[in-house]
Amino acid sequence: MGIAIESIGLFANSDNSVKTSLELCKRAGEPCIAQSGYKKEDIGLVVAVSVYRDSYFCEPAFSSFVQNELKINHDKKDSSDPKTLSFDVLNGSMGFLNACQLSAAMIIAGKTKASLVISSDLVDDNVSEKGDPPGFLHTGAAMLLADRKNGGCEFTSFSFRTFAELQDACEAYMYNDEDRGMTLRFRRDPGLMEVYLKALSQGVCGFLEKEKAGLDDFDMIIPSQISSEFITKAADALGVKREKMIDVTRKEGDLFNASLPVAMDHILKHNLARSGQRALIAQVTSGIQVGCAVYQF
Amino acid sequence: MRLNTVIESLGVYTPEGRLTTKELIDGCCVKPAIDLEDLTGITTRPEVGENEYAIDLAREAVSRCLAISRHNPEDIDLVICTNISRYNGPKFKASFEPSTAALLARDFDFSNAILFDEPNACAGMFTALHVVDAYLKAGFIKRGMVVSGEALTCLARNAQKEMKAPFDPQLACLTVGDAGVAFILEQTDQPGVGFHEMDLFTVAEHCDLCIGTYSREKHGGFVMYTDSIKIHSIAIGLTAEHVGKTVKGTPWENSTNHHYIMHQTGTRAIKTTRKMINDWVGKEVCSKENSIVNVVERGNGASTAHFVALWDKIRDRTIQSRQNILFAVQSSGINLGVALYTLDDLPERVMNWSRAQEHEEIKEAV
Repeated sequence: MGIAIESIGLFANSDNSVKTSLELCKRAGEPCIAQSGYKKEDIGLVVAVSVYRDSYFCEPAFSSFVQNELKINHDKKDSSDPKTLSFDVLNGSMGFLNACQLSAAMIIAGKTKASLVISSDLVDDNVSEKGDPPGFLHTGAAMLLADRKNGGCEFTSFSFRTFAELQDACEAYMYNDEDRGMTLRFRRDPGLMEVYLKALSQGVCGFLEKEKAGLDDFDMIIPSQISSEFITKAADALGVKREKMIDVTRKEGDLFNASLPVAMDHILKHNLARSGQRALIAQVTSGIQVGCAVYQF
Repeated sequence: MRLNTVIESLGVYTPEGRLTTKELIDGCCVKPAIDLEDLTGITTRPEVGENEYAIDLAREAVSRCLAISRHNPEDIDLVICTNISRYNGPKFKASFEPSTAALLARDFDFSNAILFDEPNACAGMFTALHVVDAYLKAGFIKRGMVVSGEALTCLARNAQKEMKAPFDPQLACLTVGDAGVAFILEQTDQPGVGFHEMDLFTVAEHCDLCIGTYSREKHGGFVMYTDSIKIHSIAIGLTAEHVGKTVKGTPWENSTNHHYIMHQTGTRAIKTTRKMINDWVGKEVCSKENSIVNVVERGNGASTAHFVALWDKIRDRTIQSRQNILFAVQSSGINLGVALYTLDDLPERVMNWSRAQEHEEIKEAV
């Protein structure tokens, strides 16, 4: 495939001082670009994957605000190059992985040199319904994807599967509450974790069959960073040792769309992967959808 | 050989309800200072029924698209939904999760497809087309479907209640119309057919000129605030240069076998864009005769606009097989785009389906 993670930028927002998703994107995006070998002019694609963003904008794409904030070819006066296309990819917490594959397609097809994928899911407590907090960690995460360098790391495959029959297990929507006005509601079955585990197990099995591989062929597994408990149960469901699972969960909440970049950053910063080793990315989200991908170091 | 991407099938669904501009204006608490019908040319637009939502429009469009297609749902490798509106239930229920694409997997067997939503304002369907083209060229998929169900007239209904001034930022909400569109893309080895060129980009410094968000009023729903004069002025100027540069000095400059389909915001905006394109090129390439206008009875269908126009003009035989189309894309963001396309026999297949539908309806009536 030949598409690699060029750089990662994170903003943990540990003290919760940043209150807007746009600022989270800026704080993650700027170091991500600065650490890369690419100039802003080279970034032909900006993809924002935050489902929950400032004022729950539905128009324009949130990514256009991000592109403007990061000043990436944002002030064009005509259609000459270099230029950038911005749009959102929304798919629960699967958006980041979807956007990685999409970036790979756009780079291979010659539509851009580099792509910035960015997330900053942030739930406004003043708008969301009390009683069932979503528990997302308000984190900024950015990843720049570009052509693989000679002999370097790369994504080698992606696969997605949907279990529509399990769809009722969770949903999130806005509706008009007579007393509160427009209100964000998260509805989750008490057995959602079991539903996720069942789908994950089936999704991963199907992927391995397609790839003609077994779990032993992978040196580590990167699951959705929902909670440490979820990762322990996911290891049991997949039948692998807990140590094989990358766990960068925070006790404060679900990393949601930031799961993949935070886990990858941890692996790279702590030199947990040697050249030639392979990570199986196995994520689950509403829908119910399972996404698998392989990253070779 | 590099293969072109072709529209294998197209399905459009417009709800039966109609909402006239006069009725809309009459219902406004504060009347606009301008004659909206005169400015935009829009006399009426389709409006969803009481229990009809964005997901229903999308579902109907997918059904029609599959009825015209050679393929089954399980043959589709990628489904991208681009609707701005996600009104999927009473009390202005707007879905955030699951994605619209995942919701459609309940009704169609898309279980092994890649599914996600990719809203990008009125440029959504074209952006998805650009993305599917990349997946096809990268060899990731064999075919992809792009879907949009735009239930937008609730913006107009909210504007009736919320507009406070004769030149109110919610004025543009009175131009929208409802529709569902789905199309399938795949590669073709037929020479000279399909998308020859497509180019899209975002001038993000103007991202705040049109904003859609939720209403803070007690009645709820969603609202859109637009600086119509500024966004039109910038978008039309950039479109003239982009289209002009694309056609000048190419065979498209002198072609007599082509149509221009621009974003359908209003008749006067289309006329101004036409003039500015011609001024840029230095000759009349975009005429009244070759410019497609369907906004009069459809309103601004946001992301569905270009494809509802294509569908309407195939069905009234203005657009026929083997003809060329230049699509000009404009949206908030600001997104701009141009795509050059040569039709295969899609118009004939759409007409065959239409005739079969009419036949069925007559049989049912008898």
